[in-house]
Amino acid sequence: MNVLFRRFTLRRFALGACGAALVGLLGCTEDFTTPGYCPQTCPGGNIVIRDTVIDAVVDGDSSYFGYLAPGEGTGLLVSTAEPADQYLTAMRFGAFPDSVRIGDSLYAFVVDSVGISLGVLARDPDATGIALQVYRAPVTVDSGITFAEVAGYVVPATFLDSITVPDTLENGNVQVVFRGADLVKVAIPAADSGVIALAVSVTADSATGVELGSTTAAGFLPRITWYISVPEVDSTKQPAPIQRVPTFDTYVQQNPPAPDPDVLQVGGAPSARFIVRFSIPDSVIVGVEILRAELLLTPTTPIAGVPGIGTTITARGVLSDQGGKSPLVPLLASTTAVTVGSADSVTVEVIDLVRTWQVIEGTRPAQAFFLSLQPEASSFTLPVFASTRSPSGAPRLRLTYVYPLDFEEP
Amino acid sequence: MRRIVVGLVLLCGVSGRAAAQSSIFDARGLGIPQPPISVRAVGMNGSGSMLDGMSGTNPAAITSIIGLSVGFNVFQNWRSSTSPGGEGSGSDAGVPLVTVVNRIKETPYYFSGSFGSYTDRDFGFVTTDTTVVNGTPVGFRDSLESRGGTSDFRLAVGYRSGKTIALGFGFHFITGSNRFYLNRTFSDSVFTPVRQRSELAYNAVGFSLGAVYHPIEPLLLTATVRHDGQMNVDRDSLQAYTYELPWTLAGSAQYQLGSRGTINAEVAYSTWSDANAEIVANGGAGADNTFNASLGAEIATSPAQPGKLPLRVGIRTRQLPFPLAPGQQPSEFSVAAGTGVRFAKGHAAADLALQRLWRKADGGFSEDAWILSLGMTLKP
Repeated sequence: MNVLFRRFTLRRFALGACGAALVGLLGCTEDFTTPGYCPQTCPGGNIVIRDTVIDAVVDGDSSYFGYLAPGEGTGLLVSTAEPADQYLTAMRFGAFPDSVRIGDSLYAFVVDSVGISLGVLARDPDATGIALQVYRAPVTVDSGITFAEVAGYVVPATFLDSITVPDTLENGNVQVVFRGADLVKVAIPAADSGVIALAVSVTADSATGVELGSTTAAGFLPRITWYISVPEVDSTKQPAPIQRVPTFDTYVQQNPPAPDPDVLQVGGAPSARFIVRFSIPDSVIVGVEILRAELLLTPTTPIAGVPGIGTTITARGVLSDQGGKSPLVPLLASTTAVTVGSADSVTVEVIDLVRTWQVIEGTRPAQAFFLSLQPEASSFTLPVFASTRSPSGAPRLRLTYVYPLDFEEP
Repeated sequence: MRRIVVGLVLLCGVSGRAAAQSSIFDARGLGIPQPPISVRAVGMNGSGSMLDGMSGTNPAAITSIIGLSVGFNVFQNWRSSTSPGGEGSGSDAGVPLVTVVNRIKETPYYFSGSFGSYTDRDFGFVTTDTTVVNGTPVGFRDSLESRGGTSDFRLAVGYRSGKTIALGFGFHFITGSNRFYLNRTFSDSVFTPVRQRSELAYNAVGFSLGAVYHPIEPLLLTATVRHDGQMNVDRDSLQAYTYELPWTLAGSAQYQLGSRGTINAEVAYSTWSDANAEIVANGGAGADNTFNASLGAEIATSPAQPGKLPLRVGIRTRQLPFPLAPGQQPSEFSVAAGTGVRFAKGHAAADLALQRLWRKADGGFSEDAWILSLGMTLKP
């Protein structure tokens, strides 16, 4: 033993010992975690998950109308003519000039062809044989126009052309071009001061609808393009085509739903939104940790609309409850898809909104949700939900939560 | 050389954040008691601690120290734990004891201050199971972690009368905290994860009395009585409950084998069950009295220089006070070996110890661990 130890000098030992300790102490990370087994290794016990369903405040829910008018949303609606309902679109384009500037001179020009382009934002992917029917409308098209008036423009005498929407097209532009003798169809009388207006309907193999891009959409806007030439100048100086987008566009519905104070309506145009108020007991909101919060809405009838076109309901928090003009909690929104034809309850996950109710008294938002339909004023989908005045199916809020764990259990 | 070693050791100390060893048996009560013993005593598995002035078990033992001495320990723990939920391994490092001892000049009195771990409650558990939410079974994974424990700050005074007897008194301020973190994630992402935390704070005041008796030349006997008072527990800054800490009666003997070394034996009994009723009343699994016995030896490898690379060995058996379930008191058995060296003309000493221990309790819980400890003693 002594021989063994004497091989080491004092200095070597000290350095070796500290080196080994350093390797051990610095080289190993702290890792406390091992598999547990309750109840032995669960001081404080287990988390108990609680589930409480709270009804909305009676008569604290109501719909408000008139937020976005037709055409103020991103889409213009057209649908096939059905006995129950139909949507038609009308639009008026910006003025077409009577001359173009080339260099320092104005020249009269010759219209070689005219293209009318419409954008498909959404359509039922299962619908077939869709064709957009384009009609000439009077330039007096403006807000306040009725379905009957637009329907009066959708007649054979004003028919311009039909634009086929390929069955494979999910979204995109479709176009018709007028040339030669057909140019007379899109000629603009002098009395109209270069303005042209159109009405659009749709036909298909079965009942359906198409959402067209409006001037507020990010893309797929309606557009007219005039391809022109000036005989007096050579081919290298020919002017570019002239394009115009609508200065006004709208759509009209044959049988818009009437406001009903006993139900909760959302969507449509002018668009409807509704508010639902709750009064949450402190025992399920103060000092608890919320795991899930579901706003449960029950349709009074299967949700009306065109299937296959995505539509969502968005719930927002209410900063201060001032009815239909309540300021909303910024940045936070909960969204859920609604399915046309379904009568199942619609569940909106609202945990982020409910958590804002857990802040200290005085600064917390109202215990209410404000709901709207997206895309607003641009959707065929028209959900109607039961209210607290309905015989059944009033809005409810289901909270799943846990109380703080009793860590102190020794 | 001295500066290098001190620098290395200080760095070792900085790296260790935990107070003591993590264990699955830390889950209940205050966790596992941590004897305040130096690495020299660790090498003998605690059997010589009551005669070791750099340990904190016997205030009379400080009278064995010559001149101002400063000691501190660091350790690294590697463990493998088994529960009915599965097997896992962990590791952690810590600084379990810092001690300062000096003699009041030209008097028979000594004083000491030490700061060490009293109990440890570092643990982390992962549990997977299924619960019913909204009428639907949902899988979950719980991760429960505790950091902290309690520390023992001791101020001690010792008195030595000749070579025959020494007496000591220690005042103990026991304080500490546990920070708990619970994370639960669900298999269904519609449920947001649960994240909860809480903090327990502890404080208690105790005392200890100790004696060292040297009846005949090769034999040294010691005895201590210690009471740690009443533990006050605050939860998140609010008073939660109190319970009694134990009385501890301990004694040891050392037999000198001439210049070849020493044989040491030590026993201790602690009345942890004084806390049982209060712990059970607060929903815990209770507390049991503990018995601790150790036997060890320090063998000089160089009789002319006993401080140069002695071989220390020891075994220890002990009961742990806080069962994971009522009636399932855990126990621990360990073996240890160590050595040490003095250098810098006797102004510094380094000690190294390696422990191998096994813990077990009924119900399928067991654990084994390696603990590497490094101690430094400086005599400026």
